[in-house]
Amino acid sequence: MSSKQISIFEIPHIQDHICSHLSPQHLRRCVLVCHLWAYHFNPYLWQSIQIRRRSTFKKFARPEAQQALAHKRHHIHTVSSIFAEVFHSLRDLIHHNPSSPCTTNLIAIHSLYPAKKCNQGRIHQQLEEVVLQVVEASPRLQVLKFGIQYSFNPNSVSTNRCLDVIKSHPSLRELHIATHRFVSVDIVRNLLKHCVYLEKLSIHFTVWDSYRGNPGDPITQSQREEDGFEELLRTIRDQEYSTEIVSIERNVNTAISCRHRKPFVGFKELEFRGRIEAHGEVMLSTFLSFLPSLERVVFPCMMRGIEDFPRVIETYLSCLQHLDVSCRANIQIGRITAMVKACRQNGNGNGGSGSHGGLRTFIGSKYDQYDQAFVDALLEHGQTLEHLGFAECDQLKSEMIQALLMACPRLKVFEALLLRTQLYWNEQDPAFMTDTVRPRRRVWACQQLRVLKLQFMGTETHVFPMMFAEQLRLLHMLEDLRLRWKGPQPVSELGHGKTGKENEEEELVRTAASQGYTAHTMKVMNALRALSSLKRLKRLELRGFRLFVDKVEMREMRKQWPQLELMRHD
Amino acid sequence: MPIILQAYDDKEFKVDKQTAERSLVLKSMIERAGDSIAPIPLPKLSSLVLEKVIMFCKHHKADQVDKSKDYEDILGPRKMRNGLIRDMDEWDKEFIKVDKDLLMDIVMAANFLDIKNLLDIGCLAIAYMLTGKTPEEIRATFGIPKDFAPGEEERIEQEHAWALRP
Repeated sequence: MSSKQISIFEIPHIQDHICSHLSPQHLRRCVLVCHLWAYHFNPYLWQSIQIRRRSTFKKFARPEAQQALAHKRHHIHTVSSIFAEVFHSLRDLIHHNPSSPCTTNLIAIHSLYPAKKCNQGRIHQQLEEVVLQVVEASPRLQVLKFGIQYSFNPNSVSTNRCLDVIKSHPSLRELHIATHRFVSVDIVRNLLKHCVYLEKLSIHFTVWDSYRGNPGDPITQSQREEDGFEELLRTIRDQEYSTEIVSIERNVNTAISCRHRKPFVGFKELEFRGRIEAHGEVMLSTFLSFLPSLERVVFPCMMRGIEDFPRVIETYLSCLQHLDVSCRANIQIGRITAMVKACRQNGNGNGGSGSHGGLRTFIGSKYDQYDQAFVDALLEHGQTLEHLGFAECDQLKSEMIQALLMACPRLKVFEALLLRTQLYWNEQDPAFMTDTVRPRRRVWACQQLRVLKLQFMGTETHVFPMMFAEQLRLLHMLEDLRLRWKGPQPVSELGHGKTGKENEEEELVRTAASQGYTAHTMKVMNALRALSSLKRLKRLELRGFRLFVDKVEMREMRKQWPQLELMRHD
Repeated sequence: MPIILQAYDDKEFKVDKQTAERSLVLKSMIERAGDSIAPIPLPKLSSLVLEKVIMFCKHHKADQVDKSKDYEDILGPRKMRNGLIRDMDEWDKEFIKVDKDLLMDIVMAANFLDIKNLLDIGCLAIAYMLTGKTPEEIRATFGIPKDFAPGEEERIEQEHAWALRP
């Protein structure tokens, strides 16, 4: 080995750089080269331990690997596993010497959904405790993703233990908790109030429970604070389920306006995925009003409307830039429109912590009935929008999609897997022309677009709108293109067995379809050939184009995209 | 006014200011030197390496210094995979197709002169040399003798078997 090679791997930041491109599999091979390389590459190999398969876990549990773990534990930065035993061995290492437990250099722990893979009940029950012990022994930990078995309510001993550990941790920034049961509103409030370093809180739960906490409980009682929350909770608890939401809202508003407000400053991201029942929305809007630096919020599924949210956003959330209502939130579109509008005013007023005000992400749910007013509200954020997602909603019209694509220059991701939208271009529509005298088509502004997922409908003779193909070929930055086409089901698709006769039928339909195009549509193969200008394309998925795409030719065509990694068509 | 760079073997290279300023080290040196036209000695660089480095800087002199990587923020870091070198553009790919020793020297020079783009590309190319090769092939490529005692290799293999698949 020449001195040059030694020196290159001895400069830490160069080796960092090189190893950041290598997967554990490659690093393992480097370790097997020679003693010196083993010395240089071992820290990188052990930096991240990911164990997902049972077979991998068995390899990890071998005595040789466990011995190595003992030696290399200070290299470990990330552990990601669904197997409880992995954390058991880590804990055992830490408490190897009971008199002086050692610490780890862990930065991230991912242990979501332990229940699904571990069948040994005994280990299960203790897993949360084991993970918590590891957390306690890891002063540098920043990310904790944590699946728990119990309901997250203040009456359980394990919850309080968990809260104590999280509260007293010096460096934790991100907390993800997934429980298959309840989460109590007291806990959320506790987390928000006491975790001063936390920036991102994400809780996945089944039901948000505003009523379970017992006000007489000694633990909750000791945590009473002067900000009126407990009283507020009690007020809400005292209300009957049948009570009108209006009266509760009034209470909340009084509580907010009268009490001395102490905002929870640190939080930037808040994510609640689950179902909120009864008066949970009121609590949620109350929490939101205490989080002035919030940038991203994911709303849970709500049973009632959210009259208050636009006002809360407008009044308190001056930094909000990412709005996610994809969680089947049962929200009227008028409210969402109002929320989107509220974000704009905030962004302009305070500037936010980002470089520019205004919404950057909007992710909608499939049940929303999008209308023109909503699109107009969104278009006001046109200059800042970067990510738009409309899951599988089927209300977005062709002209709305185009209006958005035409007006958002910063857009990088656009997802709209719609069900019943026919994509069409009206040649005469002045909105899409730059000049009425000599019509020239307006080019989409989203030239930065990297990801486009779109589903559209058509008839067999109207497959690939020509103007769509023309716009697509101008998106030079595009890396991921997924198109789904829905048309009337051809006869041959009714039976799935591939008999010779059916193949023949399919052939017939294909020829018929490829011959009889109406004006302004392209043959799919021609359209794809035109897309050869997308030199950065990495992933191409075509669904539903089976009858219009020739497999052999597709294989040939693959070469026109030098960076293509995945191509799927069916 | 051209800047003169002097390699280890006293060979001198004239470059324009914009090219030289791709290197943050040279940039600060030029700023400090003001109008003096004395050659800048670079005793750690051979003329072969310096020529390559200048070639790179010339090609990239009009680039913006900091290319934004905000795309990764949205979609998460790119998956690690074998075909890393495809992330570079065509010119860079051709440029970095050099033998192993020169590549190492270029990376060292990029590090020494603080040229971020070149360092990125060099490291990527080295990573690419290491991917998809068995330990035996790596040894052959880098000319490293195998120094494991009998049975030691098997032991290390057992220790890290978990890294094969997540």
